[in-house]
Amino acid sequence: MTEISVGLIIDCMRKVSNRDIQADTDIFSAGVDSLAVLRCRALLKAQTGIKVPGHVFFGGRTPAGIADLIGAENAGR
Amino acid sequence: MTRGWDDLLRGERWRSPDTLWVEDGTEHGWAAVDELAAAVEAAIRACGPGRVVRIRSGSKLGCFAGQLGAWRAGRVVVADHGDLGPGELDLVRPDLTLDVTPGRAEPAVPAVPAGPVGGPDRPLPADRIPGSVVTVNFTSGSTGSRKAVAVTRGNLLALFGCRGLDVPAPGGLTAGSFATPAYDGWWFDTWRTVAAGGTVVCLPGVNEDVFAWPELAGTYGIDRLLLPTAVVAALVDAVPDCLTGIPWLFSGGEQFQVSTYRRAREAGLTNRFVNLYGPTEATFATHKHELPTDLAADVVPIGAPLDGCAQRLDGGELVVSGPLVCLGYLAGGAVAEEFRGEFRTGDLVRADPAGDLVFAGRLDSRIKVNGLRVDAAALEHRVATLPAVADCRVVQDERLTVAFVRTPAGASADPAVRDRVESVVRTFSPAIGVRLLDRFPVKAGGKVDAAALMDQHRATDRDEEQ
Repeated sequence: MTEISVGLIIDCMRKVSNRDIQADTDIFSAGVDSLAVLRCRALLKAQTGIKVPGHVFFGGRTPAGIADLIGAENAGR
Repeated sequence: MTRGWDDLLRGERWRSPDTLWVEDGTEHGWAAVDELAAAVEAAIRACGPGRVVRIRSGSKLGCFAGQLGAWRAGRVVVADHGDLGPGELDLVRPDLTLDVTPGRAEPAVPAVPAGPVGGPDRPLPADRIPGSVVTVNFTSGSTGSRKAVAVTRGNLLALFGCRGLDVPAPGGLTAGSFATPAYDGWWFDTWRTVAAGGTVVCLPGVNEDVFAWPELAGTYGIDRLLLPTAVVAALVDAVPDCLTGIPWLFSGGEQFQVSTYRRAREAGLTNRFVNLYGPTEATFATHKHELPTDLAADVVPIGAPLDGCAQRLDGGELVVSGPLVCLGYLAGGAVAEEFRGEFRTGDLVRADPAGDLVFAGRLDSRIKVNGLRVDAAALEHRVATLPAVADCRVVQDERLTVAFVRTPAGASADPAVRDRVESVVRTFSPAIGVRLLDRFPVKAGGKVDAAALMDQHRATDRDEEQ
């Protein structure tokens, strides 16, 4: 899975949350809520065509962690 | 009444191979669900006498077939999709817990008794709950802790027979299912559909795969879908495409905002919207308002009473009666308070020029701020109808009163919007804080999470002080 990079997740999270998100920012501690996650998933789908499930965000918590989980899920398929 | 109930539980159609239920990519026929329910019924009977059965299942089909089996065994059933806590269980005190798992390849796996839970050492008498009671509704707890409402078979049959909730479905009704069994929407989504001989299609959760909804809607021809008001607002805002292809969207639980409707139309959605109103104490819904295709009003009414609901106003408070009103509250596994045929909603309403009822706040919405009475509902309404404002919620704790204002994306940073909101709020009380947000946190059931709003507010305040 190369289409969804940490950088792309950071870009999308910043757009939907208006917050300064870094690769290692815990997005939920930074005040991102489930609706922002939904918007982010919609953006990722619009840009890459990939449907990322919400649990990846809740489990990954940081852009780097989220990208890792997306990679792991796809490697397992 | 008993005949209609028996026909629902044991009618001929339970032998049909036609699809009754779709969940997680698997189609289940009526006969397969019947088989699972028979296994549940046999397991219950094998455990001896008892009044209340808790059906625990990670699948909605397990909950549904568990309800069918428990009803056939003559029990009060509480379906637990993993979201009932010890507090809720203590209200009903099940004598028996069954774990129900529909098999992947096999149509049914026998239920496994898990022993008594939450109850005292000696079994409670069976007559602690009247024979007419078949299940329980849990209130959302937005006006206190959750309560258990005793629902009778007459309540459910009245709901199933309520023509005002029908939608056109020439090829047979197919309903999407969003609610879990802990919410009264379950009766509308699943049992009301099944009573009409229809098909239930379980939709993946918003956080799982909301993007799969249009495909499921297309494949199965979903005619209607019920969603909590806050979920409609979130989806219309963030992923409106997920709602395409479902002709009728029902919504309830909270005030339907005009801004949600406008946003839906701006996003090109052509769905018909139905705003439902009704306390959990009246089975599911008592009033409905079908939104016109061109909405001009500045507030969405709760509308007119459904057939089977009678209403009266007492000092502006809506009081409902009729067969939809439940028996009463349960506590400690027995009836603790009876409604005696009518339920005081605690909601203030007024009639609009067309005769439709409009929600005008809670009886208890008059809060005190610095010793002065403030009508929180009136404040919320005034702010919510300002330009560039989607919704407003006043939250009070022991220290603070804050008007939380939801604005369209980006507008929360706009000083002009803030000025307008503040000038309205100041006319109510200068001691009420204002916070503009792009979105409101919601609870699992889809209602706005007032406690989380306040927590977030305090956390942000601390950050700003540092």
